[in-house]
Amino acid sequence: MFAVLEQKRQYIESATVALQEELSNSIQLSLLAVEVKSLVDDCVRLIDDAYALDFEMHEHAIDFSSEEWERQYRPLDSLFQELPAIARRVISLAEKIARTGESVEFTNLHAKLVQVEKDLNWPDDYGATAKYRALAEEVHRDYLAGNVIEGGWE
Amino acid sequence: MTLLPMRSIKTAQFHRRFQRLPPAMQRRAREKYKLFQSDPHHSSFAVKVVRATESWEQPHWEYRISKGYRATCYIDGHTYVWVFIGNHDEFEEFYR
Repeated sequence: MFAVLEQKRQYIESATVALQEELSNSIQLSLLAVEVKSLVDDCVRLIDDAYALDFEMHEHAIDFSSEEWERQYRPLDSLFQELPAIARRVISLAEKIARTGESVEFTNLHAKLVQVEKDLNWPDDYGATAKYRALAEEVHRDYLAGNVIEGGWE
Repeated sequence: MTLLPMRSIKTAQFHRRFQRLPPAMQRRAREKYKLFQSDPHHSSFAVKVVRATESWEQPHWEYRISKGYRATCYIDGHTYVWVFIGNHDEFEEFYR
């Protein structure tokens, strides 16, 4: 499935470059707007598909040794690292089209971009806050008092 | 020397958070927990200590369930105490 994602990524990247060039020369902006709208949809689908593959790989992680899973996951991880830049370029193109007066909707793609950026940047400094310390102490008091449930995550 | 097996317990809040996960994520979390039981250091967890708790007596650990979901715990002797499970927004709301 990753090979399909990689093909989609390459298509979106080359189409973005081609449409940017067309935009600087184009006299048929309405046609270009249709193509950019389609590119926005493709980009949204690429992000959705990347998440779907991520979910699937995590769900079936138990079937792989640690080393094998890491090897198989690495390309997807790299794709996730590239997704914000890809999405930003497509959004930039859509914004340029929108400025010409043509209608191009990219709110959905922008929301996906925000989500990807969040998921790539989980905070690791939250423990510095007083609230976190207080919470951790509260949880530990519950634990010492036996106010906990035996067993795994469920 | 005999090594004592590790056990897991969770806070009531963790339990409630698990129940609120979307069904597909609950399924995924169950699978990841099975994996945790057999290999708590599996690379898919991308386990890391929460940086600001590194100096604590019981630092907190973060386990990846998927790109957008995490579980956190600390270790007390032979017990994993599970504290949080959820997505990024819930994580921020929980800890900040």
